[in-house]
Amino acid sequence: MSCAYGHIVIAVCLDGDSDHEGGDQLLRHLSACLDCQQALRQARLLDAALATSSGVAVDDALAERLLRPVCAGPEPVPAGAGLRLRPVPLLLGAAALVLLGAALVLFGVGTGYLRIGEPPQDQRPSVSQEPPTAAPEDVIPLPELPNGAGARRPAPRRLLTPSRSRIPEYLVLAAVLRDDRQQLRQVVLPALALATAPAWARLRLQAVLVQDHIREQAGRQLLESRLPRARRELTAYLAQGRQDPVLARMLARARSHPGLLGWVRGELRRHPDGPALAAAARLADPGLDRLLREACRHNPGRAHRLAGALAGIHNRSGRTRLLLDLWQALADRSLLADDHRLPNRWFPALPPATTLELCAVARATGNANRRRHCILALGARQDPRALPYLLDLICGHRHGDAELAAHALSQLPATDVDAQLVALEPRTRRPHLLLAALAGMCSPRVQSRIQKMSLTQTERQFLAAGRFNPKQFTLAARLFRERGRFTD
Amino acid sequence: MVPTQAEQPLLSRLRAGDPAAFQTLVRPHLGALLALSRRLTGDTHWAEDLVQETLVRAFQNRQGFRGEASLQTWLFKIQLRLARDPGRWQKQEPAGSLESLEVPDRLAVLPADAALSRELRDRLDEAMERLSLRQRTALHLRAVQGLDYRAIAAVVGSSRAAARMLVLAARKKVLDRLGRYLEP
Repeated sequence: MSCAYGHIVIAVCLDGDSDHEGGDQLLRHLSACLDCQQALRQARLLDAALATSSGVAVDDALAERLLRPVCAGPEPVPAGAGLRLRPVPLLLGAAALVLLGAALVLFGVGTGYLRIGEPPQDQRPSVSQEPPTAAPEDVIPLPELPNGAGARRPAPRRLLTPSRSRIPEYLVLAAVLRDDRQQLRQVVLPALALATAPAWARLRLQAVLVQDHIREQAGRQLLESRLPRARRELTAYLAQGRQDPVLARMLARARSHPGLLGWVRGELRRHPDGPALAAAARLADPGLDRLLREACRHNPGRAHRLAGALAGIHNRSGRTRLLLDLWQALADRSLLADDHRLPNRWFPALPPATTLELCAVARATGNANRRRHCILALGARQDPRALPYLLDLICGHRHGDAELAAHALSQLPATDVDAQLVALEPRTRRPHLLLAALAGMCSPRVQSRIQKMSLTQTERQFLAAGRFNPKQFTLAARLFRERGRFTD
Repeated sequence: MVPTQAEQPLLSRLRAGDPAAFQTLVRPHLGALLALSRRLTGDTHWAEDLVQETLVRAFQNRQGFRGEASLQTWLFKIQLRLARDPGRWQKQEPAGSLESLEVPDRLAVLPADAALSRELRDRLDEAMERLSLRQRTALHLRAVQGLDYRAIAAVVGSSRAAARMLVLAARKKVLDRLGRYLEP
């Protein structure tokens, strides 16, 4: 911005500042000065970039978390309320501490502070008694801090890590894999004494943490570790609910890792309600699937958790059969109160390929119950790709399946399919089912038809409202079959 | 902007110490508070802590809100004051095991943010971090929240002219740093 009027132009044109006189003159200048035009354009782009990068959506959970200290308890207390000290007593206290420390040093009392978790000095082996031992394999030495940073010794901090200067590698790897910044800030950064390191070191570490390939590398190292604690951390990560691109890649690696599969198998036997259940469901290993079927067939709660773990786009397709088996096992044992509701809970969030898998299973099976489950699940998924199969069923020879399929059809989005259904209606074997499906999806194409039918006011309102449950759908189909043809 | 007529009954309830009224009043401003907080701290977790602390302080000092400026401006002012002195609110908690820590999810970021190129966003954050706290606040409030200079002046505790100069100087510094990234 070399033009002297640049900042005035920005203030007036961008910020609407009305302090400056001569707006017309300024506009004339702007139209002639390329420098000011460039400055204004860049300032606009900067504001737009700032506004875009600062957008934060606050959902209810976050709002609740932010407002929790205000709403919980009678009167909230600020974090620093108890720590605020007046300067004079603070200085006096500091001076007293310095004097006390000097006295202790002079009289040789105490040569260091006792670390948490370490034995008292008289119980420690002396250097002369025992040769120095190498560090255990699961700890990593800390890097040297740059000059200046190490000179400032941090105050002793209470850490629950095994030692203040060494931390287990698996903890670091797990924290990096999870991109767990709070964990890193609370455990790793204080241990590294980075709180006193220059800002560039902290920024660099933070920048590194968000890169997926670094996280994946940490995951690979964690996978190769044979420590049970490392396996537990990895299993917990594989079972987590967050959408994470690294998770899919780690699952792919873990599927071909016999050590981890064996660990998860044992963990699933010992603690079927732990994170191993979700991890095993995602790993899609035949041996694990057998264990999952055993663990869940008597326990609807576990089955629901398993289905929840399979939801999400990062999961592998091909898990449909496992879910159908569990549904069948629970239904056979009468452990499901209402299995019409179950598909809405299990199937909508599964990967896109699930729709075609359900169609394939339903076509192949000779088991009427399994076919019924597949049709209900297709209805719950609301995926137009199921349309050809559902239409086949409606025109097929099994009346029960045809009605269920029509109900599933009624849950598809009207805009995607209603034109096709209207064109098909005169030629189909069961037109009343198609009309009921159209009414169920509240299609405008069937509303005039409903108005022409000889119905009571209540029946007309019922049909016009749409969104039928399976029982209501049977009634709607009957109304179309018995009253639909007389008035046309 | 002073509180509206609709806010007056809530403000009366707030002065009487009703947390529900406070919630209702501040809920619409949480996004703005969080955005400024993230800009001031440069860290999502500290940002949440700062917002929490701001809300606690605001609720405690509710009698101090006289209604001469908007509630949002008042909250921003408290937030900036806290950000200047992190020692007053940053809690150094002892570390626990991985399982025992309650780790909040990342802040939900609007999809538009993803569209902004990562490099530009990083450069922008870096350039903003190099500004002084007052300049950063002033530019953020002007560009992101769209506050006028009077409100910005109230937040940063300066005159209107000084607020304008803060915004201009901040914009110039940031543009000098990433001018070529902002070419259309």
